[in-house]
Amino acid sequence: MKPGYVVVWRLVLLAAILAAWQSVSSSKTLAFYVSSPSAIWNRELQWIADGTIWFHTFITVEETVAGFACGAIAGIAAGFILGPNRTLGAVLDPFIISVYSIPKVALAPLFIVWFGVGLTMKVVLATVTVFFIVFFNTLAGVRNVDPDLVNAVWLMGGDSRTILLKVIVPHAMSSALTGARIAIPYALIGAVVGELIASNRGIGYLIESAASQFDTAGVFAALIVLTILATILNALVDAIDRYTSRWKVEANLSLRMN
Amino acid sequence: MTDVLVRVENVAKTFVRRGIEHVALDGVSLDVEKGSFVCLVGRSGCGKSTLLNLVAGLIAPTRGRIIESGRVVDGPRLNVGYLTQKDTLLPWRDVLRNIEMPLEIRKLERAERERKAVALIERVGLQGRERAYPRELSGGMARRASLARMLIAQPELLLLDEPFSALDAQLRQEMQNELLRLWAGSGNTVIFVTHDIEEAIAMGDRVVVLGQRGRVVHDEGIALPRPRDVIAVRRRPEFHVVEERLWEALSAGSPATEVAS
Repeated sequence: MKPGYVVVWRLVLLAAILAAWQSVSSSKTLAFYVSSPSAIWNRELQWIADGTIWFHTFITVEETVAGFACGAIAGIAAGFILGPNRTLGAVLDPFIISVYSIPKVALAPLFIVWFGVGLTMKVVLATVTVFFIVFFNTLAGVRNVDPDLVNAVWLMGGDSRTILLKVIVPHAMSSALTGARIAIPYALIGAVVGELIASNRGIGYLIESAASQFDTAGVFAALIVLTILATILNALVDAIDRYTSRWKVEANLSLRMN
Repeated sequence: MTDVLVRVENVAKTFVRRGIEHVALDGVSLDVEKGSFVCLVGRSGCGKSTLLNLVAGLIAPTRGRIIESGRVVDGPRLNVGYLTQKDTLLPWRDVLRNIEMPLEIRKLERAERERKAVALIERVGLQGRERAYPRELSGGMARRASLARMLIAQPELLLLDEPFSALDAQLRQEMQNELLRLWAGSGNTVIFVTHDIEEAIAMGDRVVVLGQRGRVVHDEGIALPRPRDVIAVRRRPEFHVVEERLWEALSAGSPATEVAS
């Protein structure tokens, strides 16, 4: 099928879904549960006009970006510290794995006690989520350097410092960046989950407050904003992917210490 | 007798894997003359790669010693170039930066490095691929880049471990001719490991057949004239006489049929 047809069929499918949705919501009872495309559209226009949408989106983006930056930096640092040190890695292994195994959302109440219900708690939740993904990838990158590459540089007359700077660091960084790339959408998840649990601003709050008032149009309107934000982040990931894919190493999705 | 560049003296190498000892080499002695092109032939598992790793200084012998340029080998040296069977180009560097690498380690200035690398890229026929990354190269191009990276350091001793075995027949012959062309008149010494008898005869001044545990079971000079074309040289009658003899030595390959070198 030609690419043009794919786009056409997608639009046809979208129109069909919207038409079905609109007709279903002509029933007052059902409209309470699923709202209607026209009501959601009007809510969206209203939010754009009064600035609600920009305010809350900006808050969520802020938390996502801050959480991603903190988690990625901490993950890369921890990976580089634990990578060459196998003894320390072996000692810490069960501790790190057990913290990693906790569903991060279960930590949210604790973070509220520690950091309050403000922005910090969402940033910390996003940080913790991102940290492990980047950490395990960096660790694997430091440890799985091809010994043949190390030997090749050794044969060229490279000392251990040269091998570290020209082989191990670039190899681990490409692996760390792969981890960071995977972690971008997870940063958004961390931030929004934090907002859903306790907040008075952000897209998660928008969803939560609309739902508590049985305002389904508001819930869907906020979900659409979130979908657009997530799509933009994924496009960003794809762009990074294309940029680095000329030489990048395989992604490590196994998330293992040893 | 001409100068001996590499002397392997009664070398043994054992590896211990999961508590079990594996004898890779035992009682191996070999002299390589300066400026010669010596081919080591042996079946897989006869220890020829291990022998090359020992000469390169990547590993140390369990017994015996290796002397190169009058010094006992105890690690990698700058006058030795090693081309392994597998490509070891750094995947995050493009062709130009990979080839420059040995000079970068020697702290040459960027302009100087680039000038030399560009000249070598032309010599190995990689023009236009300077900015390509290793994963974007075909097998043949990656070999050329590896060859250029080895040659840029101007080694006197070249160690080649089945360098063209992964290439298709036509490309292999092309690369063999190019290697001979690059080597001719350089005065460099080459130790070329292969399991392909025809390749060994077509390339070498001398072919050494290794038997079990790397013992020399046959050693003979190849009198074919140079410059050689690896395809044309196969049509000479003496080529097949030598081939026959080497096949016999290789298939006998047991310590009982050892021939003194």
